[in-house]
Amino acid sequence: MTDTKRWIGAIRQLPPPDLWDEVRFRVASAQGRATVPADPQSRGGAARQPWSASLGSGRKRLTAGAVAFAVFAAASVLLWNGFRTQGPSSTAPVGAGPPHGTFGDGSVSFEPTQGWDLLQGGALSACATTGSFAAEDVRQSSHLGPNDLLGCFSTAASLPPGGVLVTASVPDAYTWAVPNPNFPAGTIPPTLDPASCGARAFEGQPPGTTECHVWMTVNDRQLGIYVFLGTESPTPALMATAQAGLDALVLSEPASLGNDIAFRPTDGWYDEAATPTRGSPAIDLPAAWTSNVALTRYSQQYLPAGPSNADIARLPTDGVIVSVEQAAPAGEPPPDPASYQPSALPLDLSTARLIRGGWEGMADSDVSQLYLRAEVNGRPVIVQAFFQTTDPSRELIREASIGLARLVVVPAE
Amino acid sequence: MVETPRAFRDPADRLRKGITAPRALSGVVDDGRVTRASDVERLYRETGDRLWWALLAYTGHREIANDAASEAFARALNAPETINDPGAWVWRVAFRVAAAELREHRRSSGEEQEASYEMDESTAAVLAALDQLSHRQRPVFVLFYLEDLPTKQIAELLGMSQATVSVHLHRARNKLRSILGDDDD
Repeated sequence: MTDTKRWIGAIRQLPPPDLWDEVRFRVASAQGRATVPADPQSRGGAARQPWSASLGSGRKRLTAGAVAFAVFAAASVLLWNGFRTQGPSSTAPVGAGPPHGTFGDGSVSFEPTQGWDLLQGGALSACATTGSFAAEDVRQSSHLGPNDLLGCFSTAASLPPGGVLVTASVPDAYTWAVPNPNFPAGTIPPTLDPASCGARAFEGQPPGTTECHVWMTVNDRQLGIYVFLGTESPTPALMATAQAGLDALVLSEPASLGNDIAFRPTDGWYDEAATPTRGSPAIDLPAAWTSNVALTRYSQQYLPAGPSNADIARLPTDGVIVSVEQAAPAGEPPPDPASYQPSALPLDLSTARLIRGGWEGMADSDVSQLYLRAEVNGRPVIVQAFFQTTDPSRELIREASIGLARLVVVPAE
Repeated sequence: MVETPRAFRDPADRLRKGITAPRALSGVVDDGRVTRASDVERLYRETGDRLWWALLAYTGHREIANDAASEAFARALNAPETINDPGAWVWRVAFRVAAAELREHRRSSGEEQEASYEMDESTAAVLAALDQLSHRQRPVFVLFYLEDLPTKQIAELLGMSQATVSVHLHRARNKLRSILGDDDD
């Protein structure tokens, strides 16, 4: 530890600035200083339709195709007949067809095997050992949140000679792995490579143990496996035992949220996801929207799917609705396809355009939206973050970013 | 932001003056009384440097470290009476602000933009290696090794379980071992 502390301590060679004047300045001008600069050419309240794939803007003129799409979309809008207040956070998609792709429950686990004790760490991590688990690891396993991981390090630290501990984890239940050279494509069961093993190889490694690792991408999951052996000189027989533990590993496909575009549920946010089934390819597109205030349940009474103007108009000043919709049917290019750049999740609103004012059907002019186009997992998507202010603060934009960070997009087939 | 020289910079000066720097998460006001603006300023004078270094190690960007530290202290100064433990509060807010700005920066710029920032080779090497860690591993690693915080406090600060902190710390060590070599024990 000492060396690592000394190594990272080199940071302290840099002289820190005195920021106190800046702190006081920020306090003095706390109100209205942190906003996203508006696109000057988007001022003036050009008509906007939150459901449309095309958008009035001086920067990018509407193409004839986009206009046609917008007109078609506007003509397709059906008036919805009232709304009702929603209760608790909703996560079940409304009007969704079956999502595409192959799904599991997103979990990692071990099959029960003779001679092995198993400890599940939520959905995302699991441990298996030939001995017994340390009480601290058992205690931790019962206090994990949905995104927490279990490493079983107390068990690793108390491995008996000849004992084996295998731990495995994935970062998320719902997302599909982004290519990463550290996690090359692999297959289940993983193969234990002795070259990955070492004793006293790094700080924090329990003395008297050997640790090996396998990093791989399988079933669209980035899987991290660590194997602890209760000796610094593992025998071939012990390595074979460890391999038997790896052979019992089970890795699910990513879990489904019930819609090709959806938001991963979390406390304090209200989610909707839908894929209309009206028989029109241009309208039957997946969409999802989330808000930090309660939303009206979507019932296909207005199309394409998305947040209602009434919900946007009812937003409090600290409220936000983030909407993500697929812009074109699978296999068809969206209007202005070049504007949909391939992007990895989580999407970021810092490159979004701020558009102030209402749009057709939105009587309230004191609204604004951040507008962003991207191609995610092969799907062209339009992202809109709506605010009940024409000048969203940095805090409000951060809130929208927090909501957007939960976006899940099933890869297009 | 234009930086101004700071006379009271060397932690050793503080020790000579008899001021003991508190642990980051203990704060300067933990006796139950109402936090005042002067407490926030004292917190800044006593822990601001350490927070800035930690933010720099976490983000790798001087501008983000400046902004996150300034923003956190400004928010505390704006309503100090609402904060029970300003030390923990400021660090928590600063790391959240830094995380958000780091995401924005990576999306908007893509490449490093620190060419104008002079630093010695060893510091640059540290930042380059830390940049190889994931966005979850890096703050855990920095707070553990640079700030010497126990995993329990890191968990509280970053809003994750202690078990998860241990996993990220373990993975960070492994990744840095693969980057830097095996001779760090």
